[in-house]
Amino acid sequence: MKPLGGLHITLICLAVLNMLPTMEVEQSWGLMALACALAVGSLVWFSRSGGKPLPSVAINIFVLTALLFLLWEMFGPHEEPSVHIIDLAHFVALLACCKFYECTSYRDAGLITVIGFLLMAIGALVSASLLFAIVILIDLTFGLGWLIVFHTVRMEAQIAERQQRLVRRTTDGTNGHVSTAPATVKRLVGRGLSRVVLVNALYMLLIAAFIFVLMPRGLYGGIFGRMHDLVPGAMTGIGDVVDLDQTAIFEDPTPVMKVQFERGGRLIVDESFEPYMRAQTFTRYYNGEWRRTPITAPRIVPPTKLRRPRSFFGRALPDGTELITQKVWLETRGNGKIYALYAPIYIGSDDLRVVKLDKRDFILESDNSRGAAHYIVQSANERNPDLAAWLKDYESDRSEGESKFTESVKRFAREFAINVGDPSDINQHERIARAIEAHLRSSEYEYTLRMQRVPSDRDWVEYFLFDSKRGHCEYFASSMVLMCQALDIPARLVSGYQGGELNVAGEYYRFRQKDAHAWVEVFLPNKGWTTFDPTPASTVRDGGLDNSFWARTVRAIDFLKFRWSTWIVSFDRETRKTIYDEVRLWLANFTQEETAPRSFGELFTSFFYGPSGLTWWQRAGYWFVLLLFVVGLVLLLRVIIILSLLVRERFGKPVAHERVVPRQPMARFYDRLLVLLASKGHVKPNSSTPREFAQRLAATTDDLRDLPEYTDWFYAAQYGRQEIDDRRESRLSRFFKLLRENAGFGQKSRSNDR
Amino acid sequence: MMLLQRLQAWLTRPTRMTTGIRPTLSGLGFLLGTTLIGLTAVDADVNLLLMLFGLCVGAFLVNFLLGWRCLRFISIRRIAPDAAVVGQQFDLRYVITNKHRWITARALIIEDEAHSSASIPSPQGFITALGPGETQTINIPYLCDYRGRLTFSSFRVMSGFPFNLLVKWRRLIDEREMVIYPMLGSLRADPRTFARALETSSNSSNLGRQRGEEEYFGIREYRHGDSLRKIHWRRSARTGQLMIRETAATATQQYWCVVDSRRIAGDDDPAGHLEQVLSAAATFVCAVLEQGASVGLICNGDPLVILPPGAGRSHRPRLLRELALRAGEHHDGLAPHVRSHPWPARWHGACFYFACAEDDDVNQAVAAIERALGTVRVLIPGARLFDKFIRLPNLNATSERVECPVNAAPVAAKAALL
Repeated sequence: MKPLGGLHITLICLAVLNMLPTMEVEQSWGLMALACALAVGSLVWFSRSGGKPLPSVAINIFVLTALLFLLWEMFGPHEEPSVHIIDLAHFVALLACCKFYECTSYRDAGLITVIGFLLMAIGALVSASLLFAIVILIDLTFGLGWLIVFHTVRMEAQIAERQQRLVRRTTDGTNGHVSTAPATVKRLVGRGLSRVVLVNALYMLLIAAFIFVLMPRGLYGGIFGRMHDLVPGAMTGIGDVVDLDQTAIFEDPTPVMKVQFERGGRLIVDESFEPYMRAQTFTRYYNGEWRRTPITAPRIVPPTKLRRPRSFFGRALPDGTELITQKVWLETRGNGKIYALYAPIYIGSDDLRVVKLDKRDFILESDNSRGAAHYIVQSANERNPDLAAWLKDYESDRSEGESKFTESVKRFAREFAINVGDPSDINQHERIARAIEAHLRSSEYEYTLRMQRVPSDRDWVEYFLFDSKRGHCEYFASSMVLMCQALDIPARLVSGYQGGELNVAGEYYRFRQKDAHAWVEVFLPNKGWTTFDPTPASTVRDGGLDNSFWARTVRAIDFLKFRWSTWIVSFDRETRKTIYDEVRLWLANFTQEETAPRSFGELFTSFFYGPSGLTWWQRAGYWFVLLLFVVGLVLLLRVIIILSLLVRERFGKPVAHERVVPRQPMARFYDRLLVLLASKGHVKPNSSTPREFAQRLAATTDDLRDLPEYTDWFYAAQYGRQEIDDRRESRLSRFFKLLRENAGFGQKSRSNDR
Repeated sequence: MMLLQRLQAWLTRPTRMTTGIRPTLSGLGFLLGTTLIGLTAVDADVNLLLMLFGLCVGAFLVNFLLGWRCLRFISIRRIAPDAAVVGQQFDLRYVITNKHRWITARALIIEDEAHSSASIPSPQGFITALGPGETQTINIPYLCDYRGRLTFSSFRVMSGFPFNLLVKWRRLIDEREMVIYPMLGSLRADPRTFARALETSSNSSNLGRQRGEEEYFGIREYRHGDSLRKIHWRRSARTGQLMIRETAATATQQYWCVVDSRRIAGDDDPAGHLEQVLSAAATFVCAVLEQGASVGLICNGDPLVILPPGAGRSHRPRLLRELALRAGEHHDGLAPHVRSHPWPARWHGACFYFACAEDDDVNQAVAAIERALGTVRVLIPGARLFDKFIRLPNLNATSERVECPVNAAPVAAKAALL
């Protein structure tokens, strides 16, 4: 293979690309950068050395280093538990990098391709991100083209080399490496290679889709299942501390999670719906910080299948409890926080194996801290008074100590409450809380992320309430909680994500880091913990949907990621069963008397048009699936035909071919006869058949009167595949001897010519 | 048991398949990897791995499905010489046409199936892409290490496109036979001079002179044994030493090439010596025919061949063909045949007797031939005279030398006997 040729560079690019999914799992971007640097370094090396590989000593040192790195990754001290298969992937990636430096032959190129394929397989095992789909897509287009060109060029070189060996020409001393002319690649590319690649990729995808849908699932639990357990899920989250001394808050668009909300079996796609995905609650304020005592909640193992909960901590749910189901796809890693609406009473997941549920403030938490994770939570509708009363039994004041706040804040709270109600009356707590919320939301206070520096001798909340009156959500929420607590109204600060961005096409909400929010929960006697949001900005969505090109692109990518997660990564037996059921239901329309089509045309139209009530894009999808189905049938038919032909070829009777029958060994005497006759002057003209020739000679020459009989024997041996028996053989021998030894025997005479 | 044997016989009976498919080594490896991925995917229930498994299966099936139609519409024509010489490269030319109207055939391997008793590599050629209706001609250099018949029975058009996991092939019947002549060397000495020396030194009757077919050739000094009648007295008187008027046969000089292809007892390397003998005979025949002389051929064995002297290029292939197809597995002496055969006077000429080794039969045959045709010079591989007369290429260089294929099977031997 030509170093630094197009094939070489493409190969290295593809190999580096195939490393991406496994690197992305543990965010090993440093290692990825190293691999890229090594790849570029190999190209530089080849350009400097004139196509010579790195000395084997250096390669061995490389490999040894990679081995040591593997051992360190597997058994070295780490904060997080080691995942051996990912460590192995890192080692394999480093091996590929070593191989870059000695890629001079087709064998080396093939080895790097195999390593890339192995990395892709490991990536498929451990990765769940859209990045894997992108890599597969590139492999199926550029990679496929490269593979086809590579195989063709390699085959041509192999055959050329074989022929060279055959004719004893020595190679050019390059240890069997034959450089291939770029003309081959040009010839290939110029012959519609892209069309071929496209057809191949489509066929492969189609077959992969069939297998993907039809393959049985849920049979895991063996050796690879255990390996799969080694690959943890991962989560995102908010810290355990809310620090008001944060002056560098910015709008971070990093996606955190996607959530589908479902109420009563219907997805919630309503812009007026304001989800508050809770993560943490804080009750104790101290010196500008809300710090949370780690919970000692019981651990539960969430089941993998979602069921409607019948009980909650041993007690039956009240009748008519309306639940909101949340399907959550966490996207980035975090510190174990699990988000849910208030109040989560059921969780199920494939990815989260151990979850802690704090029944006092209904906070979920998990030990896992890696990778993406998918889970389903069901929360009770807090506005249901029956349920609120039911939940109240589980809720109590926390025993984490009281907040420490200044006298000025206490005084301000009391003065504020004089005009609203009596805080000692628990029935007036809600009114007072609403009044505080309204006060903070008034135009007197301004929402901003540009914080002023607070003097060192002042408390943050105090400074916000009386001096600056400008701040972000944590200031507003902290102020309200402290005011409530100053009036002995139980209140707590809640952190999490609020609002989100509705993706109408995907029917999900996308939460980004910028949607992080803090709000207040106040304990009301009849309603339990009730949400209050004193932050002015949080009441209005930021200008509605941003319709700029960039925003739409980002939403489209989000949609793709969502579909990738829901359709591919999370596809399971239940999903397949749902698809089967829907297809069966639809097909049943063709057989039921009421809905069955009356004619073939109607049947065809119904089948072609698909189920009624589809949106335009759903109908386009239906037609696409129909097309795939037809193509799949054609392919299947073609496979059957080819197989049957091959079986018939192998086991059937040999097919008679219209061809020139080669001279049978037993009929070769006729060639000898012709030579001997030619030496006597009787040359057989091409225009006459053997029989015509024999008859002509027998008629003109007495010595050759037996020639027609010998010709018949020739016919029998040549075309009838008969043996020449001993009697005939001895006669022929005598005849040949006469022709050879008797100069006058059968001699052509002038009279014969005439 | 009988049923099983019949079944086995039926399954393993020789068939001549016209289409077929076989996995390559990389294809088998890929299949193994795919199986492992599939098992892992089902066991671990990982959807992405399952998708990768599907893609691998897809690649395999695509490799299975594509390319058949291209193979079906390929036609090949072979342009090959009638004969070639051992150790000399020759070109096989193939004209390949894609008769399909809209499909391009890609990565085609053209293999011409060469058959013989020995395992010889078949010539292979490669075509990157052959467009619809396009015709390409490829030249494949080829070289044979043995003499005898080289049979091309059919073409195999193969394609591993696109991933070379499975190779599909189709056989196109097109039979052709070539004769590979023995290896040719060169003569160290002019055969005319060699023959003249033979005549002058052997005191035998000069048949050409008897027939009055001599012509003046030159004058040289007298040597012991020269006929006194040829002394050029005038030149001798002038120079002071005896000079001889040298004469030579006219342009129609006539030679006999006698090949004794017998296996002689005591010969340590009969096959090697036979090849040397045949190569030397072929070299001699070619050389003298190039000089315009007439050459006849006498070969013992299966069958006995006596080809009367002839000249010209058209005579060359006939002689070389006989030498190429000579078998050495016999003990048929030459002397009885020579004695019983009538030899017309016009066939007389100088004889070069090539034999593997010397024994009584050789001496008897030489005596018989001398009586029938004229003077005989015996050339035996390894002998000083042989090396002085003929220089052969190093036979050991072609280490893969095999036996002549005409002796391959009993049927072939029987046919050759006829």
